[in-house]
Amino acid sequence: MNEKVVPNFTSYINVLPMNNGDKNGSLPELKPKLLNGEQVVGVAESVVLLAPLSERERGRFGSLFVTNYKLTFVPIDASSNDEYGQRNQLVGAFDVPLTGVGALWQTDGGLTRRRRLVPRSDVPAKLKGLQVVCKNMKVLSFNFTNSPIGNGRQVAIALLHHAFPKRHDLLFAFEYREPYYPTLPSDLNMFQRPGDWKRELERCECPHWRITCINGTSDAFMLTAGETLIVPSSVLDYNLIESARHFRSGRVPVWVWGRAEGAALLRSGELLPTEQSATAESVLLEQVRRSHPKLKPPHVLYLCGNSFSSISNAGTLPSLSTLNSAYKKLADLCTPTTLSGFWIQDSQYYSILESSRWLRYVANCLAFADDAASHLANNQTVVVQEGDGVDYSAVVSCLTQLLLDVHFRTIAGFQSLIQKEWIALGHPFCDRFGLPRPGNTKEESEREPTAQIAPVFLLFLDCTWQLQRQFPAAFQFTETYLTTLWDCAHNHLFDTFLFNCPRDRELAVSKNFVQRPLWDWGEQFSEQDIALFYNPLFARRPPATPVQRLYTKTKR
Amino acid sequence: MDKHNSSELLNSDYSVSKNASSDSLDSDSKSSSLNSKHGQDSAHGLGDIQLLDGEKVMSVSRDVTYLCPYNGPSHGVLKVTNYQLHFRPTDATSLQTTLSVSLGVVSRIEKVGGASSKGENSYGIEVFCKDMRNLRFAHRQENHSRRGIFEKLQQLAFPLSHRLPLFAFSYSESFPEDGWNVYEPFVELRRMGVNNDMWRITRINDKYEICDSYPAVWAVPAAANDDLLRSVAAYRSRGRIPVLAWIHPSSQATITRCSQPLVGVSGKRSREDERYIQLIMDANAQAHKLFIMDARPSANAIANKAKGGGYESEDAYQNAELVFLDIHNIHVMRESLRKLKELCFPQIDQTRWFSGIEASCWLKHIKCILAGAVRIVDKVENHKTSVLVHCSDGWDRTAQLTALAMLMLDPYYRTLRGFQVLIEKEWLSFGHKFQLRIGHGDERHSDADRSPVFVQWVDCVWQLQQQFPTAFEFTERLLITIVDHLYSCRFGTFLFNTERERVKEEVKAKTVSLWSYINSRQNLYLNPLYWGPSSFSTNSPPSPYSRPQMVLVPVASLRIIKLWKALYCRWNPTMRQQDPIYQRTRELVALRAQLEAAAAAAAGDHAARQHRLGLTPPRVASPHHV
Repeated sequence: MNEKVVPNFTSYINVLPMNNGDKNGSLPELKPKLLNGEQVVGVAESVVLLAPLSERERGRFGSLFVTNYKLTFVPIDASSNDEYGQRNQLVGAFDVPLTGVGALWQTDGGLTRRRRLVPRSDVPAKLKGLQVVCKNMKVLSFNFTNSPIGNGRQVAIALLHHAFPKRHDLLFAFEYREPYYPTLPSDLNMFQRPGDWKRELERCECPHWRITCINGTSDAFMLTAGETLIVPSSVLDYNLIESARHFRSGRVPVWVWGRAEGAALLRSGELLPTEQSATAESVLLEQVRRSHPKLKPPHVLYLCGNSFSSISNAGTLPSLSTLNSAYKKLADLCTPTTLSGFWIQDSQYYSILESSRWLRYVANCLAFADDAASHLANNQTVVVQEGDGVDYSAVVSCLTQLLLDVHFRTIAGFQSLIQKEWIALGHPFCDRFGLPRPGNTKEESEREPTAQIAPVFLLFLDCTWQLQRQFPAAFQFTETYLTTLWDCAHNHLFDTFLFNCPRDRELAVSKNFVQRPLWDWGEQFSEQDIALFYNPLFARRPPATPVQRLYTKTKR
Repeated sequence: MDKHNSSELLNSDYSVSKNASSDSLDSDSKSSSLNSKHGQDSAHGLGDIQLLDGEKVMSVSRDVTYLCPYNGPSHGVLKVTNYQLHFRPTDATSLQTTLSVSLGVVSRIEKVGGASSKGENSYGIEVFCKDMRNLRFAHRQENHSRRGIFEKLQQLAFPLSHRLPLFAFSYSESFPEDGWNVYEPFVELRRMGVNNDMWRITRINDKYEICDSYPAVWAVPAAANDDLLRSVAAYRSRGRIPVLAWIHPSSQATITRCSQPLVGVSGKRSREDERYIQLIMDANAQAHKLFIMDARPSANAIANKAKGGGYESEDAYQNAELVFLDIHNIHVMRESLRKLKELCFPQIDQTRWFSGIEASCWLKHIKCILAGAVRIVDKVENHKTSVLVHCSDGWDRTAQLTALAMLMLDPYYRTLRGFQVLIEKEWLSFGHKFQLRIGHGDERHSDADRSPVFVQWVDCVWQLQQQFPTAFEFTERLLITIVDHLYSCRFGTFLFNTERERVKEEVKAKTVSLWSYINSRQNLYLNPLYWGPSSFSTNSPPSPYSRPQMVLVPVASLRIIKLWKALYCRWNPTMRQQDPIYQRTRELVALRAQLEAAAAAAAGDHAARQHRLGLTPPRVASPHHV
């Protein structure tokens, strides 16, 4: 337990072997490892990184730097034990990419008392401690009691300024000068060009669908998706443009996956409450039906309830803000800052977990995917409909494909799936992760209502993890792969999760932005570490059984 | 006798074996709890009863409906043998409701409804099992149709209450290896380096006269003479004096186990006991202190004084520090598992699943036991201090703690054989009262002495496996098989309370050991991910990146501790792992064996070539332990 008195920091001096009472006098000068284009913007010396949850105030001495890329702590006694397991060549054990910073707290130097710091917060000159809660649930606590006065404040202000940028092009991916030579595997489909979609259509052997590039022209109606869309062969581009007016964000049903037998999986946005929207929908669904060789009518899954009946039952998915508050409760449970807090939570771990409702939403997603998969297995086309057609529909669509298509359970397949469902079809990563929107000026960012932050992608990764638990030999990738993926989603050096939609990315590329896909794992990891992504139990089975049904009952 | 009922032809399409409610493991583990008739399986149709050597059908009841909570009612034939209850549906399409339950798991049998009960399937019997399930059968409401089978079931499921022998004494299958030889106390003590300067082996209890619940062979401090042992026994509850459980190979710090001292309300002391404890401490030169871990909550330890027991006062025992580990007694554990059963069987309520788990407290108890074992490990490994463990009698919580701590400290016990030795030693030889706790063949289902102490320990082992997936040579399948046969009464291993009783009843001569069975089909239990001490002695240089862990220190937090669904929820088909990993596991084990053999052959070739060239092999190339 933490003593009630103000902690006595003399103990830190004992941590430092060569310190003879003189603050920072005998410290060697520590330098951070900088990338090409990276600059230091704030330094604090003689900082103590407190051991996680240590009530005994143990810690390590070193210097803390803020750069335009990361927050980095350099211990004076670096040892090879610091990086156990996986070793990242870009982000060290005590580094956090700035976009990975979730919240900053001013502390009294210990772990217990704290106050939230937000941009433009008042930071005292004699800042005693700083706690950084990362988006990947890592918690770093620093103590500045031994630092020269003002150092702590300098770091805190630099962090507040740089970790929450107001303009998209301030992200480090725009500054990184290291040349990039892509070495992406050939079986990874990036879904960037029409040819990529053609490959997928051919892989799935679906002849009744056609590629349209109308969305790449001035007639584009689905601004948040890429230029290539796959639609029923019988539908004319003109009809699409017409119908798009009745769907949110112009999200008419588009093909994402199909079976050679004829059934297909489509995603769409909800209908707008216009007069003819129901008619527009049924006209399009009729075209979808005609694309089925047996002319079977499609089954529509309303993920957030039917927009007309507005019945929301227990099985549907919540609004993004509800999802986000569920996540916050979960994150609270996973980021205890004190040992006593840890044990208090621990004794009620399961009831807190249950009351967060996060796992309920995970189970609901899996149940929808299960439903979709069973219809598809019976050769019935499924249309997944939700909000703007970029959030839960991506989750459920991906999970359905994981259940049905062995290809997507390989690493290359899974990455292709993310490229298809999340990148090409425009999941708004900037908005959901709380990054500034591309193209917006500082003033615009401040004026616009803040976009809804929500961990939809994390929800998908969690669902995938649940499938891994239920089918331990079915996936080529491991839990480590999924956690690494989530960590890297907050690394603003890679462009994969840096944009709201393909259009924004293309705009940036036209201004000489260098794309650096995350999937080039060699950029960050050695071969030995990449090997940790491979599941030793994975059995590559012949794709004879297209359907692997699952039933999700419990969570975890 | 309708042995080998192969005339009943079956639909050969039946392949839903993973849904067969007879067993939770995959199809060939149906044989794990049932039939290992050597290669005759193909002669039987699926769903047919398969009799073991020495098994006889005793009663057949046609026209019975099994009310499966998952697949609905199914009509068929119920047979009772001297080993099992077997139900086979008449309809070949509902074979997933085939049941084969060893009578040993039956805890109680009740009649449901009367001759005048209304409603379909309201008249019949209900069988309550020790393995987290109940079975409901409905009979025709005429001619007392259930009477015969009910009486036969009562008699055969509870043979001891009817002066009949347990099935283990009729069962006669022979196996290539005799599992009774797995554990030899002398061999095990020699493995730990006893006798040595500080510890000696004594046969003072050869006739079980000093302590009737201890084994014949113990290791005690070399400086303690037999007279001292006798006086100490008088001061320890039921004569269970502190004896050696485990000794650290390098520091000589020990784990010793015993029962509570007989302090009583008057605060009695025993100079001999105090001296004896001092000798245990002195046997470890590294530390000037001894930890006494009392597994109980301190309130219970104090309350025991009123019954003549108590705990060591630190005034009397110089240099000893007493720690209470706060683990609750057998009654609390029984109640906790009962609540868990309510939650897991028959249906699971998703909306209150987690809060229900929390309310059962089962995981909290698991956490407490793990945390206690971790404290013991910390003292022995990190502080080189010896630890004395006891509870009240020293056969429940003490066995849980010592066996768990030894499993964490010594990689030997994490091998398939070492694990058997551990169970034989810490549980069986030191007198965990299996008969009393499980109630083999005994109809007194509400007996207060019953408690899932051993199952709880197996759960702790499973938690370790979850936290250290490469540290164990065996998979959870071994654990489930052990739990199945803890109840089944097919093997003699878990029968009776003490070594003395087993010797008296000639268990080794008259029954088959569970280890005979398990060791004859080892490859089913091997963990392909195992990375033990035998596999790291190859020539790679040691680095923190690539060396298996010797000592396991699990995290005893509810965040990490999980509910063992594969054990507790296994009867519910929707809760099973859908992609049975067992097949893949066996493929990988075979592949691994192949590769290791190839590597060994290559190394042999290499050595031979070196030899031909007249070179001495490099020192680093240590022999392969494959």
